[in-house]
Amino acid sequence: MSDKSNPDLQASGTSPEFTPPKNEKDTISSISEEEGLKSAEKIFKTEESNTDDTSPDENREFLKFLRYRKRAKELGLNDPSTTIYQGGIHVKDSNLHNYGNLVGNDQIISSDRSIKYTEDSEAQSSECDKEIESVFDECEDIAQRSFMIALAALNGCNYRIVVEASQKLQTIIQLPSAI
Amino acid sequence: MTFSSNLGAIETKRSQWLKQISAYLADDYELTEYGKSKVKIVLFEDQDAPLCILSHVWHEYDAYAKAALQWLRELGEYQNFEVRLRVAATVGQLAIYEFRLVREDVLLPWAKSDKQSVQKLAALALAVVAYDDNEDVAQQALNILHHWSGLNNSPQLRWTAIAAYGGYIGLLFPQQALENLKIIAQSGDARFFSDIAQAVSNLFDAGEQVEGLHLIVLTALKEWSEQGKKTPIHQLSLLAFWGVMHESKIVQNQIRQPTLLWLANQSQSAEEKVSFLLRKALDLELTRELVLAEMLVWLQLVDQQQDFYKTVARIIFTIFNQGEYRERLRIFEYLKRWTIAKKSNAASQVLLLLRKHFEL
Repeated sequence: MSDKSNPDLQASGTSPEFTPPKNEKDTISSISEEEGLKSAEKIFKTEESNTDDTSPDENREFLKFLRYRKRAKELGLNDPSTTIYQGGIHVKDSNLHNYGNLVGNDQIISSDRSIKYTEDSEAQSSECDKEIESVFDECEDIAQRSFMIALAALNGCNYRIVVEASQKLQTIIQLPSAI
Repeated sequence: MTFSSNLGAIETKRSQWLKQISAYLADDYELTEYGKSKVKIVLFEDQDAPLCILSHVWHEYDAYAKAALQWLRELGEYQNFEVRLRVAATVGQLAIYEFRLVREDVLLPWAKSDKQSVQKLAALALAVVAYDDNEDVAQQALNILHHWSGLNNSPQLRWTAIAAYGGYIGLLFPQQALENLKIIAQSGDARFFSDIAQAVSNLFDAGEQVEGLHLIVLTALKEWSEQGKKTPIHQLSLLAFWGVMHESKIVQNQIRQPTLLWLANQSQSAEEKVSFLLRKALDLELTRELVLAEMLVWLQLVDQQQDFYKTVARIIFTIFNQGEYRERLRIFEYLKRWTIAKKSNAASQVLLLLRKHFEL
């Protein structure tokens, strides 16, 4: 089976999208104690904020997590065990919709889910294991397998981005040292 | 299941081969410099599929797993935030499977990066590990961050620890986070002061959603401020206190109010800590003018919302009562100045109270 099963998935040498975030705050350089305290003061003055370009997104996600966490508590989900996972923060072993994906997608938290949901989910999960694993096993195409791994990591992302990322992974897999 | 082969494969429709791997496309849009742009996002039909595949690949396909680590490490440089968030989450998940290998191949290179956006991914991935149900697994993330906090010769690793403590890990283990932030601050490395202050501020703000966190942060700041007056940790604690005094607001009963005032109104313990820290901040040249400006803001709020009068008056009264002569004189003079300049009626009320009680 060749790697040409889908033209979108063929590995490419260049990857123009893979560039660092803009306005990156660079290396930590030495400063005096006075300068350090001054810079600490500045962070509380909005117009002089020293946050880098990535902060708004990260802060938004963090705040979203906090809001959902509070909502989960209000619904009587005692200190839900939380973890960050595909596309955001999840609450595990709880009765949140969609198994509690808290960040990355806007989802509804409801208290009307019972333990049955968790049990169902577990049953489905084990079935899914076998099914999706055999899909991966039976696929002998590196491009397709790379795509599946890329999608496992980037589930819910722009299709083009996933394709590009999978091509990059394919390139790495095909390097002699990877085999 | 088999994919179409060779020549025929090129002709395979996208929807068809996506179906073969139980994935599908959905409409979405992204914001670009030229406006809202329609895009297709791709998802597995089963939401558990990503984790199943990651686990399967990790445990059964060594070459793919090793290549995936290099790939994920490089993806940390990607510009798109959604991508980087997912990449960090994936790395965290893999670290749950095998911490040592992921630490060597991804976490350390990320944490040592000279780009903060990449370092933040290490912090995020470690949060995934720290939130794991298995205590032994979670402990690895906490141990490594604790270790990094004490490294004098690696500012990058320390910075990553600060980012972790000011985020998800700080929420879960606030006392440990604040203790390690203190260790970093005590090192006297001024490069970290602003980041430590930001981390403390993040944790304090999270107190609106996480019960008890406000008091934990105030308790830590109080302890930090009890270090020698000339130490950086003392000064930093009072700067951070001013920061939350200045910035942190909470909406209660449809009234936006300073969080510290609201807290002091709620509990005596909080009021004591606020009074203590305010007194210390008034006594430090670095923060004096800053907190005086905020005190005036509080008094002016009382002019609008008399409900806060008792709390503000009690705090000022406590500081005055506990203060030495010069501290008393300072408060008295400022209240008098604000009264004469008609900046706040509440200032004159409190001034009257002090005059009456202390026979000034």
